[in-house]
Amino acid sequence: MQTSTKKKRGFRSDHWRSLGFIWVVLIPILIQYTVTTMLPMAMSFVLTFTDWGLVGAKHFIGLENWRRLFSDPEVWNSLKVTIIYALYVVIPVVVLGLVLALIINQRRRFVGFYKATYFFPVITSSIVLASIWKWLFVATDTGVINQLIGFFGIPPQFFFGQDLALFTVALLGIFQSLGTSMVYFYAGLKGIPTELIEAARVDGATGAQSFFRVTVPLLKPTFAYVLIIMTSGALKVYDSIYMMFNQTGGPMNAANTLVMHTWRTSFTMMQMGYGSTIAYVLFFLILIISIIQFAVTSKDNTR
Amino acid sequence: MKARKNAAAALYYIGASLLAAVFLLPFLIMVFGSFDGEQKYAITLTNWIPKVWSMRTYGNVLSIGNDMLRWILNSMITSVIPTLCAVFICPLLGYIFAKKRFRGKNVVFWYFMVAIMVPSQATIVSNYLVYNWLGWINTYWVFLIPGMWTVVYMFMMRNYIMSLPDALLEAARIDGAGEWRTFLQIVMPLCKTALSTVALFTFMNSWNSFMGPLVMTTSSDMYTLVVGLATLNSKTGSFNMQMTASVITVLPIFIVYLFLQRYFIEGIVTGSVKG
Repeated sequence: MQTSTKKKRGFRSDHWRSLGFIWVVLIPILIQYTVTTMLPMAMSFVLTFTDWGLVGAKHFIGLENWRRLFSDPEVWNSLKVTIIYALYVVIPVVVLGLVLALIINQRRRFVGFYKATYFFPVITSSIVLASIWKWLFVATDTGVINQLIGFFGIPPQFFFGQDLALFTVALLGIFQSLGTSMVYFYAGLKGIPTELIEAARVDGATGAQSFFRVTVPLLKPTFAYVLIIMTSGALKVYDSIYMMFNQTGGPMNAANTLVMHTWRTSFTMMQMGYGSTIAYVLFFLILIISIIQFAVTSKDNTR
Repeated sequence: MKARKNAAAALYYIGASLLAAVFLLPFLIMVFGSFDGEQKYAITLTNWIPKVWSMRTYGNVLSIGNDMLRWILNSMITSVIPTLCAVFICPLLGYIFAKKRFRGKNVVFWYFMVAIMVPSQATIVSNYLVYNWLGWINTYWVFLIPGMWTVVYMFMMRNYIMSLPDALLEAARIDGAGEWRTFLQIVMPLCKTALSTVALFTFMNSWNSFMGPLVMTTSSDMYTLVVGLATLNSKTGSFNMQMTASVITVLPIFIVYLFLQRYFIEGIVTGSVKG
């Protein structure tokens, strides 16, 4: 009898001690998180109804910012630029990422070196890459890239001009994201049982046939995942553009992505209320991607 | 058959090496540029390999009239301290959400998970205003407090710790270990691999982070190396100077990569790189 009450009390105090431990950890973190994440998030919504600048009077202006947003050709342009950029980057990254994964998924010499080399740009700062890019892609016919394409008979291009600006930034995006996509496909390839490929071979399939009929269909979830991750990354592009076009959106705003436009409106033109409203376009884009991601992953799990 | 096999091997090595050359060329140009004894204001396919090798540009970049050393220090502080915090806080929260039962657990958990859905770029304006009110602009607090832990890695640690057997924790409890001892002596050592991922990526993300530090600092002595590099490049037109500053920016990440390459590459699959 005595022991059982003792046990009970022991359990009780354990319970309280555990609760104490949990909330001693959670309360400071909750405060930190609320101040640094939730409060700004709530505030960014409130800001969209104000004409907030850094100095001067602040007024509630109702839906004025939102009305302006929908009729602002600059915003539509930056939405277009962002989506085109994402297309420029994501499609090559998915295709070439698979190619790189096939290269490093071999039992040959130097594979470790190839893997490390292809992956390195992923961990390099985009600002560093952009500062190299600026020198490589100079418009003169003696620029490194212009000389290289000259070997193929292509005339010198004006890479930072209005027509090619976004393309040049996208090349950097591709260069920097290929390693990530490669690693995902590599993990996907490793997950395919070799017996399946061998079985296809025994049935008389050629290398190409077994690749397109067996490997590619089995990689479907990987394709979906890489596509989603890369798209949501590409939609947020900012650093490389800031660097390549000296804090602007490029000639005639040809590379004025949503984040760039948000930043310029808020911190160059000091229209923080309207800047926050523009940021919501990005927010909704990412939200759509997240919903798609959720739908895709939960479908995978039920299978 | 053998000839075909050899041809295939040759094709493989040529293709893979050509690609490797494409990936390495920008970095080679950067490194060679930094050691070039001759001041250059344009580079071509033929002149990027230095005729005179010299470390002079390093001396210039690190000394005269700019805050390079201060930027290096700032970057170190704002990357190492958040990394140390994250390696402690992410598994701690992960442990609580994975193994503890308490009222309000789901509410708190989903309250944290909201952050995953919202891109940090979208709230940068109001972040700036909040930090401005708190007086954090141009101080280290603006890096250290928000960067202490990341929801993505908390989530990763939670999933990892969920897979640890309950029996282990139960055994520690019966042996009379307190909550903190159970966490520090049982849970933490079992998480070593996952923690190395958290450490590497927190360090790399803080080191390379650009938009946050750019917006949150306005005086040159509070810039991080990456922000400093961006301003330096708009000030100087010298190829050598820009490449030298770039090399200095990449170097710490490169050194870590040399030794822990495997963890970087494996870590990317477990927790995505960029938030």
